[in-house]
Amino acid sequence: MEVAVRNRLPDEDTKRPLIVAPHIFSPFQLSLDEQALDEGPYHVTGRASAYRNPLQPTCVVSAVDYTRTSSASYTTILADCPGIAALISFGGSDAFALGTGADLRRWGVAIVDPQPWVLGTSAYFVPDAKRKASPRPKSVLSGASRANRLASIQSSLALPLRIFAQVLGRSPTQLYKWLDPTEVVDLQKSSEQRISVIEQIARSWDRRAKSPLGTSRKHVLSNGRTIVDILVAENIDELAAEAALSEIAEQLEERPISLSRRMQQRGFSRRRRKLPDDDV
Amino acid sequence: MSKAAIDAECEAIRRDCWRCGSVVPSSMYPLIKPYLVRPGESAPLVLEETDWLVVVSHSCDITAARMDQEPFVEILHCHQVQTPKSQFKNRRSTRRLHFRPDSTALPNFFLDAHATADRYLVPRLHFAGSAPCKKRSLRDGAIAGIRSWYALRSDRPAWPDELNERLATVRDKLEKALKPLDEDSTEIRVSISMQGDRFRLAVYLVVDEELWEGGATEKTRAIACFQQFVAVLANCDGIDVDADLSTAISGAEFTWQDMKTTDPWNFASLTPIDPA
Repeated sequence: MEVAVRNRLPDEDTKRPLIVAPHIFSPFQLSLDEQALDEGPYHVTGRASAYRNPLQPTCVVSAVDYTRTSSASYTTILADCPGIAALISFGGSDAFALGTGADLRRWGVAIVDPQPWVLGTSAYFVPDAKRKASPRPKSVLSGASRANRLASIQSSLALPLRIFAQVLGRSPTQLYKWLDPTEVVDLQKSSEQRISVIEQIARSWDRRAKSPLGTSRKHVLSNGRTIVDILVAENIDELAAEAALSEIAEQLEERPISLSRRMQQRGFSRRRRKLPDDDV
Repeated sequence: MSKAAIDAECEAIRRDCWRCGSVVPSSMYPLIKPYLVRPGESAPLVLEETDWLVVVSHSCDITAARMDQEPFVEILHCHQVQTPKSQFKNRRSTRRLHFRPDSTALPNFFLDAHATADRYLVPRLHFAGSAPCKKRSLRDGAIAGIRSWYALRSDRPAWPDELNERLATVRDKLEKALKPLDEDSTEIRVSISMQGDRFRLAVYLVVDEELWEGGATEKTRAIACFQQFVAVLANCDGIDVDADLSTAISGAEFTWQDMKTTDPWNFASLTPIDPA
């Protein structure tokens, strides 16, 4: 059954539109057109089989470039359906956020005075304006591999989370998903490429210094910029980044050693207290 | 007994190598039994063969030079527990502890103790002339664990109940995230502020300087734990992570001022009421 988008509830705060899909009890297909969204293009088709309980969904959704044939959790479904950030179901006047454990407030959605067509159980897709729906290559990385790659970068760069998110071209909220190895996130090719570039830069820093970049990121380069300025650019200038790292590393060598290191050199060392692990 | 003679007994206690973690031998039971009575009860404790009476006073107090300086020794009555519970292991509860006295020699032997209900005071004088039990003793790690447990009991920060309740919903995930973290070379520290009805947390992974400047694998593992921990926190209802501040940082850069502005993260801080 083909169904057009019937309505949407614009969110005034975030301008993130809430796309309304019709009843989900019978199999349906959903199409979102470009006009429905602030950013595009989005061409999402969803197909759902019947499900019984909004809180125990057995919904099966597929997108244009993805087909899932077995039941899956909403987290998995949403991860595999580009352009859809959350599923919301209504039972009477109550709203349930389904998928990704989403709190409705997270999406800036306030349900006030439901319209008649809202009453009864129906389902709504919240499109995520940042996710593109066009067919694209997907990452085959597991959540753990993705999280480990990011941890490896951070063991070299040690950036505060917001800056790390900016460097990756994501919001902090999106970054948290990437950092969680239990989250299923299919990285776009462009994201993969950006991570690879940042990995190279992180490794380059490792060759220059023993400790992570950390607070040295604030060092003002001779051209008046900082390494963060270079890393957050849409297209990272790798040569400029290399030069910046060299300059910061040189400056690091001139920095006096820490008090704890000086103490250590004079024979004062920190106490170590290994606590037992009785969980094994 | 003269005061000089009493003080001489202190020297005997020191000679016999009593210290924190020593186990009272069964031969001393008749002597100390009258003191093993809970307040309000008349009958003394009935000791089982598998019970351990563990000295928990600080070693310096047990061997204090004068008897009037430290007239009592604190004893913890520990009972064998066949099925240790996760929520009492690794100092997750500040009230009850399930621990292994000797994880090498007795890897499957666990003891259970309540911080106050199983704690007794015995006159130090009675320890003179008897040596600690030779068959039973606590390994250094177990002693450090008990000390840390008691320290945590007094020092743990009092976080708002509402925050604890919110965190309790993701406690298992938080525990899982931090499980591989080495407590000796890293510490999670948290600063809490309230914004409307939401809690805002600045979260730091403070890393020992030595590890910070080396050990790429260990460092990456620690940061992976931290990342997962932050991701779980950020996904918790009513809690925001301050992304501008939260980061991993060298212990050489995290200042005394920063220490005073943050609390160490500890799961014992999360439970205003002990789990059953």
